[in-house]
Formats: sequence, C-alpha cells, structure tokens
Amino acid sequence: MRRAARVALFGALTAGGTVVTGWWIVPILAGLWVRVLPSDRGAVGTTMLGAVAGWLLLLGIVALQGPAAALGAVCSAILHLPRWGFLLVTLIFPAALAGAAAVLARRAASP
Amino acid sequence: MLIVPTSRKRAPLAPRLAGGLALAGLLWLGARGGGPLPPLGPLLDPWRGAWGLAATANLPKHAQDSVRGLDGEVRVQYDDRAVPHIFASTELDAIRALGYVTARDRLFQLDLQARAGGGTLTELLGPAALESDREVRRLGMARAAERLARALPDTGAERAALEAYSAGINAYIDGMADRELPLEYRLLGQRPAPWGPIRTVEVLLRMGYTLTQNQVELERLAAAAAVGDAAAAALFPRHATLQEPIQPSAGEPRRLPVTIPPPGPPDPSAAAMAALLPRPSSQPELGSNNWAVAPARSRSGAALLAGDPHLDLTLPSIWYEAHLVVPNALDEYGVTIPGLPAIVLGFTRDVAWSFTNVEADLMDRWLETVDDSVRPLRYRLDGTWVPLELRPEVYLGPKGDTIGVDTLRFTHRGPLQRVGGRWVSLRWTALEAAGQWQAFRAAAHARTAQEWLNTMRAFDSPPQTMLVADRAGTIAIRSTGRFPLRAGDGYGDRLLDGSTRASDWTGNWRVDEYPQATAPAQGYLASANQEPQDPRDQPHYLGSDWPAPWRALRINHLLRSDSAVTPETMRRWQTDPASPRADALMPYLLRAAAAHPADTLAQRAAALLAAWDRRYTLDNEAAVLFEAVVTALSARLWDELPSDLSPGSPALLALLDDPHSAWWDIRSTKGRVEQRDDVLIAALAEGYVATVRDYGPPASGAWQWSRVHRIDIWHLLHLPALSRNGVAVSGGPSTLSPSSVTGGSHGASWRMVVELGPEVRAWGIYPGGQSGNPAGARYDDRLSQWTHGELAPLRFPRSAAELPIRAELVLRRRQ
Repeated sequence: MRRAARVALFGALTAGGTVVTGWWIVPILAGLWVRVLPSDRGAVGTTMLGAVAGWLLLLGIVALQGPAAALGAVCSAILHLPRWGFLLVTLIFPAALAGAAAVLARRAASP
Repeated sequence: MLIVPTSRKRAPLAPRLAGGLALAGLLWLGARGGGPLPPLGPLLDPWRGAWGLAATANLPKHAQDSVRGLDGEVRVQYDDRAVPHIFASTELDAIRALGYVTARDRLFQLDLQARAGGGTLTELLGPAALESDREVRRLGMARAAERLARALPDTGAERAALEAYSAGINAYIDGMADRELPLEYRLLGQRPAPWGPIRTVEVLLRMGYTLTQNQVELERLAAAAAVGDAAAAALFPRHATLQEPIQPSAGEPRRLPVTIPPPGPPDPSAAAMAALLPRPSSQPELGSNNWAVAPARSRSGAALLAGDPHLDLTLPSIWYEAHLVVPNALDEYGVTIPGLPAIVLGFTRDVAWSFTNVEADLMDRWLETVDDSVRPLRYRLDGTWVPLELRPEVYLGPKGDTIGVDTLRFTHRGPLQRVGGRWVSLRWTALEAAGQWQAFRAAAHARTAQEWLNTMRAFDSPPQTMLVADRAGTIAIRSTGRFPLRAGDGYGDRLLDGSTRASDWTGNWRVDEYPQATAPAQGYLASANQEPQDPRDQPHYLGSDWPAPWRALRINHLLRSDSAVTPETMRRWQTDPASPRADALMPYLLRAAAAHPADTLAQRAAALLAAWDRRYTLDNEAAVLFEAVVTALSARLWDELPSDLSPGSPALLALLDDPHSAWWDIRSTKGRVEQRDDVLIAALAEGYVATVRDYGPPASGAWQWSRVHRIDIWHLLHLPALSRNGVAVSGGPSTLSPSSVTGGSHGASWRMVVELGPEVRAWGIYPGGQSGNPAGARYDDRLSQWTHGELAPLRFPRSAAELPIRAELVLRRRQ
C-alpha cells in the first residue's frame, strides 16, 4: 500500500473511531496498526500523520456546522496561546498519542 | 556439531521505555490534565470536545427532545434576537420548557449561581472558592436553603412549579450531547450537577445577598469612633437630607435643614464596637431606576413604563429574555434570572412592571453572652442558658475530597459569628424568605395594576420598589417586601443586646404601611433607590443606607418638565448624561475661583469647568477634571475620618453652606485654619494637576470621557478572553445611568420601555446575549446596541403563527 493511502486509511479510522468512542481511541488504533500491519516500516509516521488527518477532517466538518475559527480563537486566548495555538495543540495531541503508541507497539512486537 | 544457543536479540530497552513513558504521560494529560491544564482529551477532541461547541453555537433550525412530566407538546420558537417564545398547553409545561431552554443557553451560569448561593463553589472551583463559600455558609445561607426547600408543601403549587422547572433543566442535562457541554466545565474538568428545588432557593438567597446587605450603620460606627457620635450621626444621617421620595409628598425636592457639628473627640465605645463589626470594603453604588407616566402625560394617551435595574454586569448577563404563552391563561414576556422559574421584570397584555431595590435595613446584629469564649455550646437568654444549634459544615473539593470544615452555631435569631473575640448573632430577612413564588406566578395573571400589587403582597425578599402600569392607564408604585419592626426605640442600625428576647424583632410592617402611591395627581411616578417616604410619613424605621438623591431628583425633574412623553423620550432618559450633582457643586467651585484670582492652576481648572455643559457624554473633556476636583475635595475635607470613609454629597452640600465649619480645616497644616474657599481652591488646583499628570494637557484629546471612563463586563469566571472589558459608555457618578469613573463593572443590566396602548409595544436590551456559548454571535450580540443606549423592539406575538421562525424546538412528553 502506498504511504499516502496508508495515512488516509489511518486518518479515516481515527476520525470514525473518535466519533464513535472518543479521543482515547487514537493510541489504541495506532498500536493495532503496528500489530496488524508489521510490514509498514514507517508506521510511526503513518499513524502520526493519519491521526492529524483524521482530526483535521473532523474539524473541517465542525467548521461547516458553526464558527470553529472563533471557537479556536477564544480557546487560544483562554489558554494564553497565539490565535492558532489551540488548533495547533489539537493537531499535535493526537499525533503525539499515535506516535508514542506506535513506537511502544513496534518495540514490543520486535524480536 | 555442538550448537550453542545464543541469547535472543531484544529491542533496546530505552526506546521502549521512552515510548511507554511518553504514552503514559499523554494519556494522563488527556484524562486528568496536569497543573493548571484541564484534561486535554475531552477538551481537544474535535467531535465531543470544545470544538463541538462551534457546532452548537447557532440554534438548529429544528430540534426536539422529551421532558418527563409534560402534559402536552410544547413548541418553542426563537425569534431573530434568539428569544424563546414558549407555547404550551399548561402553565407547568411552560415552566418545564423555560427550565429546558434556560439550561440550553445558560447551563454553567445556572450551576454557578446556585453554588454561589448554597456555598458549594469549592466543588466546582476548588480551594480558590473556599473563603466565598465560608462566608455564605457562615451567614446561614446553606442552612436557610435547606430549611426553605424542606418547608415547601409537598402538594403545593410552589413545589410543583419548582419541580417542573427542575424537570426541564434535568431533561436538557440528561439529553445533552457531549459536544454541548459548556466550555467552562471543560476548562474545569467538571460536569453540571442535577437541578432540584433547593437550587432555585439558593439562587434566590444569592439575590438577597447581593441586594439586602447595607453598611451605613457600620460606616456611622467607624465615623463615631473617629469624630464622636454627634458628628457621625450628622454625616451619615438616618434620613436622606435632600429628597424627593417615591411616594409623592410635596411634589418638589425637599432639603432637610442640617447642621453638621464639628469633629468631636474619638468615641472609644464606638471604636470597641466597630472592632466587633468589621466593615466590608466599600461597595460601588448600585443604581436602579424606574418611572411611569399616566395617559395624561404621554403623547399617545397610553400609560408608559420604563425600568433599568443596575447590577454587576457579567457575561453571560444576569438576565435571560423569554415569552411564556398558555392560551387563555398566560401571556407574559420579560426577563428571568437563570435559576428562577418566573419572569421577574416584564409585561403581559394588560400590565407592565419593573423593580428597583429598596435599600432597607434587613439585617440586625446582637451581642451575645456565651458559655465559652472559644467553643460555646450555650448562650444566655432572659437569665437562662439556651443550647446553641450546632451545624457541621464540610467543604468538598472538585474530586469529592474534604478541603475545609467548620462548626457553625445558631441562636434563635440566626447565625452566630465570632468577631473581635466576642460573639455576635445575626438575623436577616433574606434567610426567612418564603413568599416569592406564589407572588410571581399569581401576578402573571393580574389584569390591572391594583390586582398586580395585590398579588405581590406575598413577596418578601429582597424588598423591591415595584412600579406597575396597566392598559387602563393606572400607574402605581409600592416598596414591597418584609420590613421588620424592632423593639425599644425601633432602630436596627446598631449592635443590640442579645441577652434578652425584649430586643428581638417584634413583627413586620403591615402592607398598608409600605411606601406606596396609586394614580397620583401629578401623573407620574419614579424610583431610583432613594428613601421611599418622606420621614414625616414614615411609620417605622425602614433603614438609613440611602443612595445619593441625584438620580431621583433628575428623573423627577425630567418627568415634571415633559407632559407629552413618548417611548423614545423614555429611552433617551435612560442614558441621560446630565449631572445634578455637578449642577449643585459647581457654583461653589466657580465662586471660590472668582474670589481668588491669584491661583493660576485653580483659575485654569475653573475656566475649563465654567465652559463645561455638565454632561458625561463620550466626547466630553471636562467631566474627568470635575471628578478629579471632587476626589481632591473629598480627601481634604474628610481628613478627620478613616481614608476609606467618605460621607455622601448631601453632607458635602451642607458644609458648603457653612464656610467656617471646623471640617474645612486641614489637620496636616498646623498653625493655620483653613476655610471653605481655601479647600475649594486647593481642590481645583490639585484636580487640575492630577488630570494633567494622568492624561496630559487639556487640548490633547486624552481627557475625553470615552478614553477615561470604561466599564468592565467580566465573564462569570473572570476569564479575560470571555469578558468584554474596557467598554466606553456615557454617564458617570450620579447620572441616570451611573457608573464609577474607571474600572467599574456596574451598569444598567436591563433596559425596558413599555407602552400599554390597545396593543402593548415594548423595547428592551441588556449587555450581552442570550447564549452562554462564547463561540457564537448570540454570546454578546446585544452589547453594541446597549453601549449606544439603543433598545430593540420586543416581539410579542399572540400565537406561534405570528412569529417568523428562526429556530424551533419541540418538547414532547418523555414516556
């Protein structure tokens, strides 16, 4: 499977999983990804990028439903972050979760 | 061949450990947060987290839900100002729906206000709220809430209404999607508590806390400690010395003759007593107004009513606008306080009403004799020892952990507090209030002003001066609430003897003794928190903490001078920038300057003030100078008193007419005795210097009132990002829309004008918006109109069909 397709697939799984369950599904999906697809040598990168893509997709849907930019600006101001800081943190968080889980799973899986 | 087994090559431990630690840390931050950070997972989750609030910021075109106990379907139609018009088949259904829509827009505010009244803020906010909770519980509010809620008859209409309201709120909470959870809860990592009747009682008690505490008796005591009782009594008199009461008397302002004795020696007994009654920090002057004209004085020939209660301004606003319709039973529009299942200020097809606060003395203190100075169990009463009621109080943190404990004590009068090593008990009408709900619900059915007043007889706390007008043209006013009668000489403005029941309250004023007037010959009525009755008409002691009379004088002057009032006139008056205080003080300043031409700085100040129109408009450049001069004048004149104690302007006026009073002497200038004009000249010069120092030279443009005078509208949690601070508004101290010079947060919390013609027409505004969701426009969409003194027409449809649907909510019975 080509890298982009893998990222897209993991993104779709992340988006769907987050809607159905919650944020905590992200590291579980990343761990499973490594286990199920041991051939993906860039699994850490795939899951990190895919997690960002998945949450970005959900943010896009939210933005179609209401003033997401305003909400992001308000949250940034509350947390004393730059205007786009809250968006950035929102995207870094799943990437970090997925990356850490993937690293752990790959290490655990390696002989 | 010998095969020697080799050890398996394992992945290095360090990366695995690092990955595991990183994941554990992230999961911890996600689930529990860290330090000041809330749990990041529920906050950042793009679907269920804070981002989801963007999706719920705008009302959906159509929504539906179910509520337990509904008698029939309820349709809620939101108009273009996001006001819910609730069409129900029974009144209880309308109340259930009101609870639902209030929770939908203001859930966090509901919870916070109830907790503030019940002393459980720590459960939401943690130790930072401990002192606030302690104060509330030590005042007996938590105990009173429990008692009042328990006392509601199980089968009574009042309990039914509170249960219905609770059902509406809880239906919303139960059915709320994760993404609808208000932002504040996410930041705190908390969830809303379910609603119950006691929480409404807690909200009411909080209103009592805000509106019924006064401190003039404590100020008088502090003054007596410094300058003796005679001078203190004159500086902080029981009666307003300049007055135009709400109950019309002579029809013109009356000035009582006042002589202020020179400062006397400090009074040690007053000092000892003042130490027992610590004075809270000086409160900003709250100022509410209402007025009405009879048909004979309105251009349209219909009665007109206006009201603008002034309170601490917050986001979301204290008010929530709603319209309740039950065919052939109820058609009521106005503002409710989230947590209260009733329209508090508003109108029906027949009557309109608005309130101002009475400022009566409703809290007395008794010095008690107890059996142990540290942990008393009994108090002395009429020669015998009586057991104290002990009540343990536990303050819980957000995770249910105990963060404080107290043992509170109560006498038969109320809570007992240890102050300055002595024990003082307190009785406060707010803790015994019981009659609000019947009154509000019944009043919604009144067809005339008199009927409306009759139904409000049961209203007890916090006492309000209720102005009402009806479609037949009757206007009426009454200061309504429970006013206690005191034993002895009848005064409650000092520490009473707790050792005998003979010093207890002996009863309450009769309703016919309340300050009131119906259909007065003058054709208008007004109240602005002033002393409601002429002392000559007052049957009993009512209080002594009367705000400055300027707003009352101004509005009565405006009403007298216009016999063809229109709704537009009333709107303009609500933000009238003229200052009768400046009118009263300025001649003395200008005369002093004219008599002392040698003082250059005073002459510069006087020249600028002489050209001033005495209006606090946004572009005005002299108001700031006048306020600086008055500040300098107060500091010099009242140098005999503690620095945080400043008698009102009627005392200042009395001294301005007594140029040789010893009060004008400045204590720090030994060997010289100053007279009135010396101090006025010095104040002019000092005010000028201070203004130039703070804002630059006069022509710089920096003296503009809009650049100096800003108010802050804080979010309930004081989060700057959710607040709208530094809002430039016209008006100043003692104008009809009063506010402090800088950094104040008080103002007109709701402005309303109603014309009671054949078809009722109404206009209104409050600073903020209907929604508590800061992502949406409805959070603060009314602020700009409010700032400019504009009012919005209020839609008052008779049926759902008359209203263009912006958004609709259908509530059905939950099976």
